[in-house]
This record gives sequence, C-alpha cells and structure tokens, in this order.
Amino acid sequence: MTAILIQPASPEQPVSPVQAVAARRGRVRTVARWWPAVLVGIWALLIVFPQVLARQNPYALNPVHALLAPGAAHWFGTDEAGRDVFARCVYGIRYSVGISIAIVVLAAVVGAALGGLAGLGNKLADNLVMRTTDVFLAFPYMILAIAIAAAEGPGLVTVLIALTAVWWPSYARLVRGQILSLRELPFVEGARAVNTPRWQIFSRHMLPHLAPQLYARVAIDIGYAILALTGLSFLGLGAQPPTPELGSIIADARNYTLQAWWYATLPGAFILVAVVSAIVIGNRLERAAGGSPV
Amino acid sequence: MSGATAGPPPGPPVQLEQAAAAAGDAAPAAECEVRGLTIAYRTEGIWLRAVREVSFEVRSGETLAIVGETGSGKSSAAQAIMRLLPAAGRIESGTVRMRGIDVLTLSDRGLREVRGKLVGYVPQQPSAAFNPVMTIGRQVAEALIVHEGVRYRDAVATVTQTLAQMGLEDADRLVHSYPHQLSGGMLQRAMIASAIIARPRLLLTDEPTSALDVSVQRQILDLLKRVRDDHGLTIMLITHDLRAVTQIADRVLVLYAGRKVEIGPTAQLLSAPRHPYTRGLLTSYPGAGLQHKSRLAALPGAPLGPAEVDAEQGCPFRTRCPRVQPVCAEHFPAASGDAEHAWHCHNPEPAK
Amino acid sequence: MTIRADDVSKVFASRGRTGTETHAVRGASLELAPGQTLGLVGQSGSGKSTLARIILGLLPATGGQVLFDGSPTGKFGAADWARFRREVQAVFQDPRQSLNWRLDIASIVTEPLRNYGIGDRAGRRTRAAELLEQVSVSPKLLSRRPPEVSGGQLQRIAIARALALAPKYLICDEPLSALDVSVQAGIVNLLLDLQERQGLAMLFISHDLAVVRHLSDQVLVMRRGEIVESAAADDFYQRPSHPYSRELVGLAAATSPATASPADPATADHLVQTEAAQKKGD
Repeated sequence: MTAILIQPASPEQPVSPVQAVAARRGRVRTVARWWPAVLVGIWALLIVFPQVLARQNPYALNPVHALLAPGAAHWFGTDEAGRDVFARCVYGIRYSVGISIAIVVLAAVVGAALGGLAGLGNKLADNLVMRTTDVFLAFPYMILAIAIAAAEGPGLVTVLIALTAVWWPSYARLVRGQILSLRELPFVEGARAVNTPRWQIFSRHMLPHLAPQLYARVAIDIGYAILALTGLSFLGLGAQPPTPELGSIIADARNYTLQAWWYATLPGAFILVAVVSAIVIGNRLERAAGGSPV
Repeated sequence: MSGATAGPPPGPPVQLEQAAAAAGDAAPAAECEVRGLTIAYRTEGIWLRAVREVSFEVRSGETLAIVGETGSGKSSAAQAIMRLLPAAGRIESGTVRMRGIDVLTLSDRGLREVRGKLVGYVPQQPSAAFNPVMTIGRQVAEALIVHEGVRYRDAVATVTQTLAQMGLEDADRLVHSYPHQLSGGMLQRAMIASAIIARPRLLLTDEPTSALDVSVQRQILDLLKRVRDDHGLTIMLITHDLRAVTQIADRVLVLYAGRKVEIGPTAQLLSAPRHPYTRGLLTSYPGAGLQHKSRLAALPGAPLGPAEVDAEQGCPFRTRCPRVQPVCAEHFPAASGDAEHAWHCHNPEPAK
Repeated sequence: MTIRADDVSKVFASRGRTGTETHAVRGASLELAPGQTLGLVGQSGSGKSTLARIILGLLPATGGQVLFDGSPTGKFGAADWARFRREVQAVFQDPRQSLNWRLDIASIVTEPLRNYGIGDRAGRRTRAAELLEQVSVSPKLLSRRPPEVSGGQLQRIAIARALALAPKYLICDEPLSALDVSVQAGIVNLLLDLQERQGLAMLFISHDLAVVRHLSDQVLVMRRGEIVESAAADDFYQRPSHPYSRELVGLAAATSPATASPADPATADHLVQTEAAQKKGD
C-alpha cells in the first residue's frame, strides 16, 4: 500500500486561506494592528531615556525663575524652586509608571504561581492559599501603606511593598478559577496519559490559555496602580523630595494652585494620559485574547 | 398571484394557503422547490460561499435525505429554507418555493406563518435546543400558542396527547418537567412533538440521530416514519449518517463542498451510485461482506475548508477523486441523468 | 506482559443530592495480550470509556484491580506509572479536545519525549517528523496549530504522539466518532497498519459494531457497566449468544448502507450466509 502524504491547504503561504481568497479578490483589509505596540514603545522609551523628550534638568534649582508660566523655554512653566515642570513630569514617569509596572508584574507573577499551586495542588495547599488571599484582600492598601511607612519610613519601596501585597490575591484567584475549569478539559487528561508532571501541565499547557487574559489584566491594572501610587505619593507616603514623582509634584503644587495653575494641573494631565494609555492597551489586549480559555 | 395584503387574524387558514390555492389548481407536486441556491458566510471580513447553486425538489409525501459531511453546506441549506441563517450568513441568490410560494421574499408575517405552521423544524442536539428554564410542556405548546392563538392552559391537553403519541410514557408528568430531567432520546421525541403539533406539511429534521445510541436511533426513526404515515408529512432529513438514510429515506441528495453531487432513489443510490463521492462513501464502510482486517477502500484527503469551497472553479471533489480528469478543474459539471436519478460528474461511475 | 482487568468496578457518588450513586462499571474483566486487538462495543453510558480510563490510570477503580505484567496498578508509585506509560498509550475521541489547541504540533508530538528526557531538541524534532511520516502526515505541519489542521490529520497526529515512546499497547477510545465519514476509513487503515507492522496490541473502543468487528480479534460487549459477552470476532457475527449482542448485530446488519462489491461472488456468498445465520438466531 502506497503511503499518501496529506498536504496542508497552502503550505507556503503565511496568511490564512481566507485571507488568500480575499487578496485574490483584491479586497485585503489592512487593520492597523501596530498602534498599541507603538504606544507601549513610547512609554518604554520615556521610562528608560527621559532625556529624549525632556531637555531641561529636572533637578536644577533656579529660584530666580520660580513659578514661571508655560512658555517657549519652559513648556510647563517652573515650580517654586525654579525647576522645569515639564522635565520633572517626564522624569517622573519612570517612577509613577515604572514602579507601577513593577508592582503589577510582581503581583501577577506571585499571584499566578500561588493560584497555580492552589488550583493544581492538594486540598491543603488550596485552602492555605485561599485563606491567605482572603486576609490580604481584606486589607485597604492605604492603611497598609501607612503601617509600613510608620515602621520603615515613607518611600517608593514602602509603596511598592504595600501595593504588591494587596494586589497579588486577585491574580491568585483569577488563575485558580481558570485552572479549576481548565483542569477538566480533555487535553489535561491527554497530558497525564503521556506522564506529564503536574507543574508542567500548568506551565506548558495552561499558561498559554491564561496568558492572553493575564496580559490584558496586567495592562489595565497598571493603569489603576498608577492612580494608587500617585495617590499615596500625594499623601506623602511614597516618593520623597527631590524625586520628581507625579503624585508628589502635585502635592507640592497644592500651595500654589491659585498663583500657578499649570503647576498642579499639567502633571495631573500626564497621569491621565498614562492611565488612559494603560487601559486602552489593556482593552485592546483583551479583545485580542479572543474567546476565553474555557 | 395577488399580493397577500392585510391578512386575517391568526386562526383561520393561513393567507399563504389561500394564496397557494388561488395560484395553481394544478397544485405543484413539489412541497418544496429549491433552485440555484447560493449561501455565503462572513468570515474574517469577506463573504465566502458555503452553498453554491444547489437545486432540488422535495415531492409531497416523500422523505428526502440530504447527506453530506463537514463543509457540505447541508445544514445551511436547511436553515435557509426556514430563513433561519445566522447574522453572519446570507442568501446570495436562488429561490426557495413552498408549494409555489417564494419563501425568500416573504414578509415577516408571512414568514412566521411558514415556520411552525407549514414547516416544522427539529434542530440538532435537542438538549441544546430546549430552553433549560422553561417546562417541556410550555415549549412544545409554543407553536400552537403562536399560530392558533390558544392559551397554554387550553393547549396542555393537546400537548400531553402529542407527547404520549411520541411514545413518551407518563406524559402528564413530563409536561411539567424541565429539559434536564429527560434523557437524550426523550428530548428528541419531545422536540419532534413540538415540531408537528401545529400540523405542518413539511418536517425538517437536522441530524435527528447523531447524539443517540444505535437502538434509540432506530426507535426515533421508526417514530418519524409513523408520524409521517399518520399525518401525511413530507420529510427533509439532514444527516451524515447513512444508516439513518437506509431506514427512512425515499430519495437521497448528496452534497459535497457546497455543491449538489447526486440525487436519486435510495435503493438505487446505495446499490449503484454514479458519482465517485457517493461510491467512495459507501465502499469505505466496513460492511458485513468484507474480509476481516482487510484494508478499507478509503478516500484520500479530507473535506474542503470554507476558503477552498468558495474558491473552487471546477469540481470540488477532484482532489480526492479516483476518476479525476483534467476537465474537472475547469468547470463544475452540468447535470446528467434524468428527473429520477441525476448526478454532476465529468467521469461518472459506469452504470450497472 | 499482559494488561488484565480483574472484576473492576467504579461507583460515582453524586454530589448534591444524597443517595444516588452511579455504577459506571460493574465487575468488568478483560485481558489484553501482546499483539492482540480487543474490541469493546457499547452504547453511551455503558461504561466503556470509564473502564478505559481506569486501565490507563486516569481514574481510580472502586473495586477490583488492574494488573500490568502481574502487578496491581492500584499500588503504583510515580516510577511505576512512568514505566507503565512507556508501554501503554492512548488515543481519545476528539483530537480537537484531547490535544491542546494553543500549542504547536511539534510540541504536542514531542511532549512524551520531553517527559522522559529522550534526546535533545534537534533529535526530538527529527523524531517528530519521523512519527508524522509514519502516520502519513506531512512534516510541514509541525509548525502549525490544531485549528489549522483538518480533523482526520489531527487524529493522525494524536496517534503519532501516542506512538512516540514506541509503546506495546494502544488504547483507542472512540477514535473515529468525531471524524467525517469519508475520513474514518483512512484512520481504520492506519490502525490496521500499526497492528501489522508494529505488532501493536490494541483495545479498540467504539459504539460502531461493524468497525469494531472488522479490526478486532476478540469482541467484548458492554452494557450498563457489565461485560455481557466476549467472543472471537468471526463467531460473534455468525453466532452472537447474548440477546443484547444479537440486538446490536441485527441492527448493524439491517441498517448497514455498505455494499460489498457485488461483482465478487465470494463476498456476496458471505453476505448471504451471515444474514441467514442471523435469521436462524432469531
């Protein structure tokens, strides 16, 4: 009996067969899929190389030119110490946005790992993890931040610890919930039949299903983390002077609102843009994630 | 045919029936006539044809089986007849006539009369087709409530009676039960009950036996035969299961990749098919006469995907056909044969 | 090295409402010897899939035991299961469900090799290509994902994965049911090849009597958790003894659309003989 090689439909074409037909009919739709990536790229650039956008030195004191209105030399004007507000905002991104990213990513990694343990482990592990999440979920992050600040002193590290501690449980729950459903799917049985160990079932089989949802969730949470972080800094628990973190800048600006409206509002606009970017990117990722894993 | 204007209130004979009666005294023998039906679905932004130029008729009182596999378009054709295509689908061309009336140009009101009153529909997977939060009785009575304007409490007796006729024991209790309390076979019977309760002329059943066991399949098909004989129904049976075809069908229409491939009387098609696909389907099955553990006459390849179905210029079966010729790639073959048994093939199987 | 099921039972306690247990399997026994093909026929709910999972160690039995080469699998530790699974592999009903659709075919086929630390990356990739050729699938598909592949090809890929460790036993749980009719015959032929060329022992589970009988040496009929008959494939069709078996055989014959080539007098005779025997049996 001769062997019959079954060939796939169009082995050389990278596009789907449907798109091939569309192309032949001369109606290929180009959807701009690249804009979220560009957005992410811009933010990443500003975090690593703020000099690209901000020409002035954010730390340069120049009391003579204090509280100047926005103009050609200083796009956002200057603060009470004569520092260029625009430069401070751009440099502030690496704190406001950068630390927020770190918080959420850390929370997601820790949360996903513990959620995986809870979902695939034995009942004891499940209960331990879940009761721990109950405790942490009950904590209002502000109180926790105040408590840690009282013990360790205020600062960005304090805020990072406080927010991560409060953020990981929701990821643990999300991942555990998904795993409980994924666990029943036939391909898990198939993996067991070829002797795949449990933790590899998690990393090899389940993570690809969870990843799209997780990415979307992380992106949106970064937006919320920015708000939480800047809020804590505003209260004085986070970044300390002279760190140009957006929240602390606004806190400093409180005293000068009537004289120098730009000092408080423009950094606020920066925060707005950052948060909206994060949420918009998150929404896009969520849609790209398509159908839910189960 | 006079345009059916303001129709009578629900109850008395349907305006369509009146129009049909007026239209032709030489009443058309075809209960349902499909000509040149082309259906397309929207996929990844473009419209791809899933059914191409399919024409056939279903004669009054007969049972026609529409046979096909994945991608054949059989379910789409059935849905189109009831105009139940999903939002992503549309009928690109062709006509569907029920006793002479063009179904495709009907108004909503006319359509509502067709569905349930002229045509009863038994969808795939009864377990999914029933509303889990409504009682069986309520759902079976729906056609009666909508078409004859009766109230549920008045319809209960008819519903119970019909369910009992379907072979369901304890019909009084079943009427108040919920779908999850019934087995697959029982749900299928209830679904058939709901389809025939308004006394339609045509029954459209989509894969009535696929989720069922062999013995239950036999029972359901026997039930359909009984119902057909009792009520003088015409049946269109959509299936991929040739066993069901042997048990109940008078004629068989074979679809492949959206095209009509062969149509004819069941016995003739099964014993002496002319189209290589039909023949391939039959001979690839391990019959009782085959030598133990011998290789089956398998068809190479696989049914076409939606993009290929749409793009194919010639005969879609040519990639798997043992009798393929160069001409098969050029254009789809016209019909050969006669009104009883017809096929579309450039190089058909020889007659027996 | 045989696989034996000894009086295996499985009871599922129902969650929620108390007292309603389901006896999925009741005292089922079978023996699969090397090189042999055992066919297990039953309708849905007969317990055949549950029995398969118990044999594979995916589900614990509540009664009886499964013996592999004389050792009871109930007492197996991780190392024992590792050894077991090298010899006993499975193919399940719907490859679109039993294979992880987010992974690419290469990962799917090489998974067993990775689990056992066999070969390096390049070696495994080569082996994956070999396995695909064995099941008549183009190695070009290695970089694709299941949704881009047809059902028949996907089931072949599932079989390729099952063959990766060169097992001696293949448990097939309804491998044809999710496939198109025109594609099923190809898979049947592939399984026949594996039986012949590799001497694979098989437990072939299906509700389709004609296919089971065609592939198997011995046929077992399962009904409501019990094995009601066990007979050689030929005998079974000619002289099924249990009334339930007779019902199944009768149904299969009466509704069979297949026509053996009428030009062949030998097969025609056989057809006539079989039908006559069935009529006598009634």
